[in-house]
Amino acid sequence: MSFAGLLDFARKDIDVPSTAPKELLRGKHSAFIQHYESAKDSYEYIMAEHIRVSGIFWCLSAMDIMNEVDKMSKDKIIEYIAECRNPDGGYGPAPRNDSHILHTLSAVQILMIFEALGKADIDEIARYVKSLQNEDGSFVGDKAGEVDTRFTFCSLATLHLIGRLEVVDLDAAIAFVMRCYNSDGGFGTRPGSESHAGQVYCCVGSLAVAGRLDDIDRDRTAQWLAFRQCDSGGLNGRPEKLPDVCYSWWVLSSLAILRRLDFIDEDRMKRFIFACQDDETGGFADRPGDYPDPFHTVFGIAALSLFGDDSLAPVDPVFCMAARRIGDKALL
Amino acid sequence: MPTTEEEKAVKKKENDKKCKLYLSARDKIFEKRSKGNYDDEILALTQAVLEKNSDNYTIWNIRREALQKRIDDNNELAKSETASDEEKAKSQRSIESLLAGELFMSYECIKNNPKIVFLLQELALCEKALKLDCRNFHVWDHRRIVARMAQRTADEEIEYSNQLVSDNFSNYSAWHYRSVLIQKVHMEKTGQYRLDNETIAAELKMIRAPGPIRGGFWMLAPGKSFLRPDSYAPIVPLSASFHGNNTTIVMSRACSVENVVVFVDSEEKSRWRGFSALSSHPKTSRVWQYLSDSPLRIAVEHDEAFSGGPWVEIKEKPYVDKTLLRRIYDVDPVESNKAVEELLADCQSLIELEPENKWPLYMKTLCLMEYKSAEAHGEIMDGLKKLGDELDVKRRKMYEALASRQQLNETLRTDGLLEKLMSGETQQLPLRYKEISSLEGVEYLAGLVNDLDVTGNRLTKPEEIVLPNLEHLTLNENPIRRLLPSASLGNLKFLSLAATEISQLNDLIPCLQAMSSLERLLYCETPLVEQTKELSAALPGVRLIPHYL
Repeated sequence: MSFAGLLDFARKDIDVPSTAPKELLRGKHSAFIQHYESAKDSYEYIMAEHIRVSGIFWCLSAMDIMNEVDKMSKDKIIEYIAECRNPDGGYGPAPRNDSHILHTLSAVQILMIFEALGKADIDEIARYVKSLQNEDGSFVGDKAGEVDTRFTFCSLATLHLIGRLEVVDLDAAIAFVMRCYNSDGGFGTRPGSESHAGQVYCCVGSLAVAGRLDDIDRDRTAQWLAFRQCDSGGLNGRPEKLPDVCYSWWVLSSLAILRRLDFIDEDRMKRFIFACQDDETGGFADRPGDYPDPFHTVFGIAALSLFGDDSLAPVDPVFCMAARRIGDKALL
Repeated sequence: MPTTEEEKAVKKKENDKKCKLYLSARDKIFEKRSKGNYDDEILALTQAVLEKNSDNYTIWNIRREALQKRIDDNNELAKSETASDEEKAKSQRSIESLLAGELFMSYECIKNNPKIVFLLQELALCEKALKLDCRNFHVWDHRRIVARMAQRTADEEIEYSNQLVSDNFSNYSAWHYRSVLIQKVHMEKTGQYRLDNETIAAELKMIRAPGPIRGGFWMLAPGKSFLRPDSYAPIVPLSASFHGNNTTIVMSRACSVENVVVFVDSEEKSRWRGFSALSSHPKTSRVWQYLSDSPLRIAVEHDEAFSGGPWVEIKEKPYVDKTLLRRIYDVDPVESNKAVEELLADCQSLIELEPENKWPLYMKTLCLMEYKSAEAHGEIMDGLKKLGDELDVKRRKMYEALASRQQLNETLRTDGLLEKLMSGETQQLPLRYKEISSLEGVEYLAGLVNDLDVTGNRLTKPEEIVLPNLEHLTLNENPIRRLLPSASLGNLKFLSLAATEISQLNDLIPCLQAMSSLERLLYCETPLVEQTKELSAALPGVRLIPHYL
């Protein structure tokens, strides 16, 4: 092994197969999502009940960015969302399931995509989100009490989208986020936790909602994000980890919010994202050759939209939705 | 995954059966919960479902409720006067065996039963889990909680991280855990965020111990002490200046208007406006303007017992914290130390051995930027160029942004320009032909510069220049395609866009129309020259200059 090889001993990456797709297979993805929605008695669908409402959001947002949301069953979905509402004001992933901030945000986003936010009880949602904030400014995700900066972002984003940011202590919320800001420029789940790209997105997004992006050293954070790009072009979530399409979204959207999207190589990035498509069934997988799912599909499509693609609607980097749905709630 | 039709049919049958089992267990669990029936069966059912799908948090919640109910019942029984001792002991035994079997039920359970035996069991469990996956950040988060509850000292935990690092040098998570603890111990001992040279030297030694320096670790362990701990710097005014229609206060760190008003002789908050490269209406900013024809006065001897003075007049001459501004632009040399010198030497020999490897050059350049930015300016620029052009091409723009800041600092150091700006001798900042792609950092001069010339650079987004008191801006020969409206360019009187790439009026007009003071616009050598008539109609009262005089 060469000396350089020894230095790169722990480096993790993949090779992009030469046979992998090299352009966006837009039509196939639309069919993939529609098939996913229709196969309601499949094992995968049933066993994913505990993430259903977020799952619906992934599917819908992907379709909306592809300008295909009319193909989804709007009325049925709106009805289902109403069934997922709990007396505490929040939404669970499925009827009878407990409320969680992840699904509460997804429910709000779904209703916004269908321009049906009027069907939600805004006061009740605000009351639920407010109930999640701790005294130190942090947020729990649900009644189980886990604290995570993800839940801060979901809470602030929900409140921003329904126009009720004033119900929580925003200064305390941001103070907690800043306690999770590491010297490497990244953010972790809680104070002292290791930096993680998903957390960076959540914390940068929280700062954007609060109008406080200047609180961080923009270029230090952008550098940490830029170092997520591997030679394959893909982005990993942390040093020494494998690249994954979902980080294309979390890293790129953060860079877009910081207006440093050019810190990574766009051509190599796109090559990796294209290669993660399944050219038979449609949909995106985490890495080339793996099985596709709606989660990686929406993040793959949204990431491509950030670079600008004529066949895709522009995406809002904070909310991962077609920008036209955000309207005057746009932050940037 | 099955491939043949036959295999698919078998698999489907199997899955259908699993679905049926799951759905019936799920329905039974929900039914029992709705009746408040937390019996043995609901424990068995939740366990069965969670073994198949541990992400189902509602089922976890129900299981927790069931266990809590058992704990409450047991506590109730223990207090009861009618129950026999034998009954009580039996109930206690059954609850203990129930909880001992619970993995990761811990936080709530531990909170309610802070027995050290549970904590030790939990610590052991974390260690086991980290052996299986040393990067699992949920386990690390859990360990932090349990270690705190078990009152493990920072030194004990540092020792634990040492073990993990010596087992596997690439355990990035353990390095992170360690670096946070080292920082914490240092902070507790000294009250200082920035590590002292001795601690840095010890850390560097540790990281160099196995021989070559590993890429990513640099950023982590010693790296953090090299980085500017700006988020810990005090919030104070760097400058305060009067500009006819506004008083501009530039702060050492982004802060809200509430943090600014304590330094001035007005409590009025509605006249303030903050500027940011990233948002149009920021809540926090480094640059604040108070819109008024009469100047504010500033109190700089600010401490916690603020007494409202003495007031400094800024009408004739700006207030400037020269020491802080010199530090921001690396004007004064930074004290180096042995550890840094050794590291630089290490990097150098590594660069000679492996000229194609980006890490040693990156490390060396970062180190020079932090410790020798003035004396090694040329070397830093060469290093960044080599990284962006050859060794790490995908991040070229990142290196260009780093180099841009170095160029800004160097310009300000040259011929005492920063001193001249601070004394008010000049308000012009010439940054011509410097390969600059970003003007991040220029905002600290927002109160001192009214004329910026960035001719011949690589700027594409002039709307990100946060210099709201600029009156003259020369953007000639930059690859700019459009001009977006920007609050911080609102005071421009003269704008020069010669030889830029702007060709469409739509990419320009909205921005120019927002510049209410604009008097002259120069746009020679652009496709706009052909559209002078349209420009003239859109910008009445602005003198248009399509050709060089």
